[in-house]
Amino acid sequence: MPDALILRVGSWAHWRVAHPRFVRVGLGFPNLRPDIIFVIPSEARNLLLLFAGTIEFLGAPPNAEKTLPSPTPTGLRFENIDKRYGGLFALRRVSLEIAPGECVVLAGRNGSGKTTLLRVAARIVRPTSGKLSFPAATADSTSNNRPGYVAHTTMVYDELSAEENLVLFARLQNVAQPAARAEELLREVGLYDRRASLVRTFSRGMRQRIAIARALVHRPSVLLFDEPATGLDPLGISWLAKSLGDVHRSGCTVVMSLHGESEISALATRAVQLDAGSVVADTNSGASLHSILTFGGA
Amino acid sequence: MLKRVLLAAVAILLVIASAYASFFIAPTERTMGLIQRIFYFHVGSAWAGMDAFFVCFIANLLYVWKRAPKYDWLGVSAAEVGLVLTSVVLITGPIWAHPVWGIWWTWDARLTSTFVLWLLYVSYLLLRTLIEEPDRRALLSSLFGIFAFLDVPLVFGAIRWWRTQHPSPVIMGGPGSGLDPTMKEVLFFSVAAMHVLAAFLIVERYILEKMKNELDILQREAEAL
Amino acid sequence: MSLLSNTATLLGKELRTEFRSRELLTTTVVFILVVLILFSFAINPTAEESREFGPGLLWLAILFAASLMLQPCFLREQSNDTLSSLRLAVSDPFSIFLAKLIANTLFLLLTEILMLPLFAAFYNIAILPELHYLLLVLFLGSLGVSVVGTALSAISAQARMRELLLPLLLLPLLTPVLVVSATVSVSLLDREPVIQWKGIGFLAIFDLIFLTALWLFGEYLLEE
Repeated sequence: MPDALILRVGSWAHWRVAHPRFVRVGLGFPNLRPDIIFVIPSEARNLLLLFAGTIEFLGAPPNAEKTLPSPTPTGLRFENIDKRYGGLFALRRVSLEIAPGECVVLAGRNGSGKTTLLRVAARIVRPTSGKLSFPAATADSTSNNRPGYVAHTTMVYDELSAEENLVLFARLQNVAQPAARAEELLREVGLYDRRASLVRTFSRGMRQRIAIARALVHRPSVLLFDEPATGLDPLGISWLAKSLGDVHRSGCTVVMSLHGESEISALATRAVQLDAGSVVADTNSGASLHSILTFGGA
Repeated sequence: MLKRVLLAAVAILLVIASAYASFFIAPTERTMGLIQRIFYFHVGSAWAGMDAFFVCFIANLLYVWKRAPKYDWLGVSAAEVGLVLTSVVLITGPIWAHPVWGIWWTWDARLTSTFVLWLLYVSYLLLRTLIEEPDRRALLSSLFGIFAFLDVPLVFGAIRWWRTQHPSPVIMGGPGSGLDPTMKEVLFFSVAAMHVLAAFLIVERYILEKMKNELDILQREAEAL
Repeated sequence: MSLLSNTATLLGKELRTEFRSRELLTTTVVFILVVLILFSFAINPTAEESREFGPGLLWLAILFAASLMLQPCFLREQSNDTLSSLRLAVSDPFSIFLAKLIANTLFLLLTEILMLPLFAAFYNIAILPELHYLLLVLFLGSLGVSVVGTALSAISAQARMRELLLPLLLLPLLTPVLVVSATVSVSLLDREPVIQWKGIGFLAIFDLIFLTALWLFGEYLLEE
């Protein structure tokens, strides 16, 4: 006799590819296949979970769960990533494995695909084909696979104050005590005095700092940085190098795209060169950091 | 190639045959006379046009699901053919109305709804011209196409239930207004002929779009070098 | 649920941004006002005609105003690419749409309510007796306009000629809302008011269909 009637919640893989909103819910007994299968919207599943007695998850829920309190070292894996825009390939069969805790520099000419690769990693751009995954250092942890992403624009609201922006992003990502976290970040990046000023009034350097603060709000395990040093004066670059170093030392995996050698490139543990959408050189395969950064490697 | 020529031949033959049937086989209508014969093309185009838009809708759904460019090509082909057929409906309406009632446009429920339908798909095609990047264009126009088709029953319903206050001349009579059996046969034949014509046009347009796409890719690659 | 809390947070942001500058609200109010006045110049209605045409003109004005008001909806998110950061941060992209469409519905309703007394005065129509039903029609109609408008705003933000494109895409899609809302409003403001429940039901179904469509396809609208 089965000892309990359990509610099995899984995902209908076929539909999941086409539409992540529907899951299959089966009513059955522990050792038998579910007899009755319903397809329900995933929001309804959440409600069901509140009522079910014993719940057994067969598949991962479609949406990411809450953030972890501190970064669990997480790596990045690109498997045969293609990104096509019309007839042109911005990325061509890129396969790259980034180990947890690395600090990787992506180098390459303009148009080589660095920005696209970072945006794919940030999940803002959907690859035409291929797979992206975030293997964690420890196999059983459900790590937060939402990377922090800093680009050329601040990605915060000009019409809101620095503090309001950070609280907004903290709340959206279910960070505990958003106001406290915002204050902590503002102090870290040195914007605490300007916390009530609208971002519209910020200088270039300050914009960079608020952008970084926004990226770090949820304590990501992976930080993606697109040309961080652009437009910064030497003081700004020093500050950035120090901040990135701190972030890296706290266990975060960092991937950044750069031009040339600087205080920031000195932080790198590894460098990868892209050309025309493909990986052409990698310090892991013996190329020298210097040659990659000056586009000498091939 | 042979299949295409065959389809072309069949389509043309059927259309000619249905034209002949409309003029010579179908009996003359009692009250309206000769002009009523346009009915066969009018209704045939209306049905074929609607089905073309349905094909577009399915193609749009398939594109959003599978992201294969061929569904986008099918979508635009079906939309264009549907638009042409709908234009035929909108033109034959007034051509029929003027000799009979002396007015060019009647706010007949079906004709009005057809006009909105026409506007919707003109917007669909216009949207496509305003987005350059092919994948983005395909995705966004497919999504708009889905919204537009979902709107179609709502448009027809709204106009039919809330815009028939003023009695206006109903073009072509209601669906149940007793048709002579011969007329019914000619009508059926005409509808079938228009459908085959639509299929032929969609196929040709699809092939054209496919070639355009290949050319575009070659051009972009050439520019990149 | 994350969807609801994200939506609430984003709705707060939308409202805060708008009430700080109030640019959308003021321009929309003024626009509807101007259109209503221009209509009366163009048509010069008698008292009886006002009663017949007035509500229809009001809804026409609302549609035109909405097609302008909805343009900045997603364009605003482009200047600093905040759309990307939102997509990164929220668990369900539908919350972005839900927040925006609720905000847009509220803005539209607010402008309509502000307009009602003026409308009643210009066209000599008594609105108080059936005010509750009138508000219901305004709500359902505005919701329909917002749902479709927010979705299309996401599309037009990614195309060229977006100022002309949004009205072009939006207005044909909204013809059912225009027809039904105007008709129901006319019969509500008639000498012997009648509430057409069939029309109310139709508007509710319209809203539901497009809300569902947006729920199913919203995330693809934001894709890159």
